[in-house]
Amino acid sequence: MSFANVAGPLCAAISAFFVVILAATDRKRRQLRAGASARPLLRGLVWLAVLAPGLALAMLGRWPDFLIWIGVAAVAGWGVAALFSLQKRRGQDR
Amino acid sequence: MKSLVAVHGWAGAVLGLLLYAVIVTGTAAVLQTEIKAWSGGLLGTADPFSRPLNGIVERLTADSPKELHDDIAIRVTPSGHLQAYYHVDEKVGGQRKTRGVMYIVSADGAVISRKQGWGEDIVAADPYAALGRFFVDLHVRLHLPNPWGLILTGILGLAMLLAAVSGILMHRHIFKDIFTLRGRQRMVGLRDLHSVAGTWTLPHAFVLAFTGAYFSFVVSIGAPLLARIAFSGNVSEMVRTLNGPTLVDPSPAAEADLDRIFRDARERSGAQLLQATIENRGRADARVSIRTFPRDGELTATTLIYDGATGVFLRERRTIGTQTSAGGALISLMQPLHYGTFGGWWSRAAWIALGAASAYVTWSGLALWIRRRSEQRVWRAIGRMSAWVGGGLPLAMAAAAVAFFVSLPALQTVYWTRAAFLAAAALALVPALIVRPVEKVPPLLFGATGALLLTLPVLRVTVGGPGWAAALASGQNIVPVLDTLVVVTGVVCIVSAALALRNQHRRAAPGHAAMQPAE
Repeated sequence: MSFANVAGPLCAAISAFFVVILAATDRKRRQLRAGASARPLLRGLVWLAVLAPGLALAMLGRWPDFLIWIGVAAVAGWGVAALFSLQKRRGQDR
Repeated sequence: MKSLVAVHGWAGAVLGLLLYAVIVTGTAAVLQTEIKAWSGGLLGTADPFSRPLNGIVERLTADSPKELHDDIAIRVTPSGHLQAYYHVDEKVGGQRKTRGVMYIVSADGAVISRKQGWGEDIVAADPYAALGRFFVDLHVRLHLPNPWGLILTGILGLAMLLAAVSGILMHRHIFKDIFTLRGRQRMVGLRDLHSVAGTWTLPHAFVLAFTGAYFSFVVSIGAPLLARIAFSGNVSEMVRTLNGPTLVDPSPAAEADLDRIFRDARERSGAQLLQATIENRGRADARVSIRTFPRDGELTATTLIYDGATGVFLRERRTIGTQTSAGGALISLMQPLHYGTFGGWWSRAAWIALGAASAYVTWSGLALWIRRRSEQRVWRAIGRMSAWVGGGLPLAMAAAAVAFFVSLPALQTVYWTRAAFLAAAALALVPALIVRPVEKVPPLLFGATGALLLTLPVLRVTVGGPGWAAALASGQNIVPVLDTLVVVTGVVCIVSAALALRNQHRRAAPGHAAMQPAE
């Protein structure tokens, strides 16, 4: 058994990069006023970028890598949300 | 909306602790094969089927009673040895059981062990695999007798599905709130922790709940019901219909060259062999079924059928049915999707991380439900039970592992693994009952769990387990990987426990604002 096949985790890392962008610009997380621009089209494109690596794996028929991508990307997304929350609370404490 | 909250909350409140236990033990069971190999201390080879086996099979046949010569099951053990089971099928009290002789054979062909009796008893008494088997039995049926344990875990799977669906429906902005965590100071912040974790792990929750319920119900209810309704209780007829008719010809015939069959199966499948089943040896209707690991890039395993008299390849057998079908394809996906073992270490890592996340979702939801009702005495008592199970279950599992290693030299692992689990669970009840406030209990128990985990690699080597160099030399990276995983998990448990206790101490300090009610 090996760690050799990295296509799934690599794609998850690409997705996680774009999840970081989404988290950093998330209107609700930043508690912006309702009128503040959230650029929905741009966020839509970033969400597409999050999903694109997985869609590529599915289209290539690499189903084990696709499932690994879903799992690793989901955990990474949760981790990103938690890290941003921690960073915000530390900023408020100072 | 109130109904949805009630459905979601009560499903979790009533079944949450049991569901948490199934999820935590299931997370450990992702590595059941690896745990058996790591803890058992035996080192085999990377591909036991790759060496010549005709001679070994002949030698074992000569050593077995004649009545057991017809059917043999050969499989790879977690440690990389070969297990050969010469057996007959018998009906005992209306149930089909196998009786025979089971051999474990080392890489050089030496017989490591020979046990005779009922197959399930031999497996249950194997001291080297006791730890992995204990976690699996706890996950699959909560150590309750069949079929009740399976029915209960099946119900828990359905409850998890119900909770996932109702959670989506009742949270109007579930995807908009995917990054919103408002801190533990307010009740709404605790709700955020639960819903954000739940949202990110939704696909996994659906898949695991559905496949888990499928496995529990198909064995305990589905198959017996199908046999009774569609085949008037005739199980053999059901199997023949689902898998296709089999030739019956008891006339004597030569036995095919098994090594040639295994070589052909390896080339045809492009994968390592996992298991070989030889039926009706020495007869014209002899069959050899070879099950392989999934090919690289595929999810499901392959089963190849050979003529046991001539060695000719006959066909590839479907999981169910005689032709390719959508239903058959779906059923064949159940195992890889549930077990998470389809993609080497990466898929296992992903499934373990998602399992831990699902366990957090379950426990945090229950904690939230209890916190909202903490003025009521009965819910405060349930809160203590929740703290006991939440922190006590991992502690008991770690204690079971410690007891396994301590009792391994005397080969008393089957008894002491269970005894230590129960003793640790009982011991964990003490802080759960007396420590105040109750929020201190889980971190205290997690800290103790971490301390126990850190002792495991040392214990393993002390009782004669292989070192990293020996393991890697025999092609087994399971030993160093699991040693590392156990140590890292132990450190994480201790550090997170210390942080949680420190934060609780700060929140309890005078002048710190009390928790705000839910909005």
